[in-house]
Amino acid sequence: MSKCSEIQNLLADYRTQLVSGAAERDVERHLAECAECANELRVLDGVLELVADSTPQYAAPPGLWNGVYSRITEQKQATPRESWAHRWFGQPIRAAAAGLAAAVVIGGFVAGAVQHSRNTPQSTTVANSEYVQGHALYAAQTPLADTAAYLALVAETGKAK
Amino acid sequence: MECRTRDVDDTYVDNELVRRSRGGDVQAFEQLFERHSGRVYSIALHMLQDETEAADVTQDVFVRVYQGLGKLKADAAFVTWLRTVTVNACRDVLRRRSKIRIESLDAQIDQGDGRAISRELPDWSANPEKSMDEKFMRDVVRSAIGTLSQDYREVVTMFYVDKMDIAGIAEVLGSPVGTIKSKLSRARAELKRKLECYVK
Repeated sequence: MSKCSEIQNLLADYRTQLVSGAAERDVERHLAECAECANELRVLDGVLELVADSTPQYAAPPGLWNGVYSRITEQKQATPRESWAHRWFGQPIRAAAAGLAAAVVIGGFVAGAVQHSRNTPQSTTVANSEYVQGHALYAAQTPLADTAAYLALVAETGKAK
Repeated sequence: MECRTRDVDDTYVDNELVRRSRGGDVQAFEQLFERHSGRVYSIALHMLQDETEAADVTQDVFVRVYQGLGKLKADAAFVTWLRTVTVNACRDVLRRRSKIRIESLDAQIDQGDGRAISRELPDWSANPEKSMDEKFMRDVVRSAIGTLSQDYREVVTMFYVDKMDIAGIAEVLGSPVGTIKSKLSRARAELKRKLECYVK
């Protein structure tokens, strides 16, 4: 390989700062002496200038934003908006807490009802029951109706005392 | 110095628009689009050499960016990320294209009637008046960049179209600075061979 072709092969590297030290000095010495290689460097510089001048940044064609806008808003709509209930109960811990709270409330109602029935006097229930039976016998005009009514009345009076 | 201040201001504005977009402000995202769509379109146009595909890629890039805003770290450079998304989107198109049409740029192009022509750059060097307008030269240079291999084209596009420095390109492409310099040098040597007839 002749010195000229060797140097010309290095010109692009030289312009891209890939040649340094002794090699760089060697290229520069040769370019100062050789008109042909100096001309090749001038051509390379001309091409690079042409490329730099002929590669403008173009404006994007009009209307592109509309396409982007419709696609991103479609995606927003396609993703269903979660209801507050779904957002809230969607998480296992929150769902478990809500279930526990519901169980406590229901349990409270049941316990309250049981307690209430325990506090209700049994005797009243019995007395009511006897009164109803007596009334039923009287209403049916059975022979024992008067007796039953009398006994019920006596029993009520005795409990009251 | 003034340039540096402008860069800092631009970054600040971008970060603010990203923050608002992330919160669902579509108008802020539209401003990001206005600020950077030209950059994305120009990179795609030089990478893909096709205006329709470049427009499609520009839209795809901004949809991808919108979807990914939540993943962007607050202090990350939006433009660097945007460039990376753009390069990846172009690579996707080129990959799909190569599956559909395996065709060398140097190969003969079938005209459909049995005749074949070679793909080559328009030769105006014989024109004595060299009456080449700017648009023509832009098309010639774009075509020349289009004949480079994909990795050279990426580097040249970022260096010349997007005016990035070597370190910035290395960051976007995830390659060492030395590798980027080497690719740029080889691409420049190829461009010299293809375009020297226009400067001699």
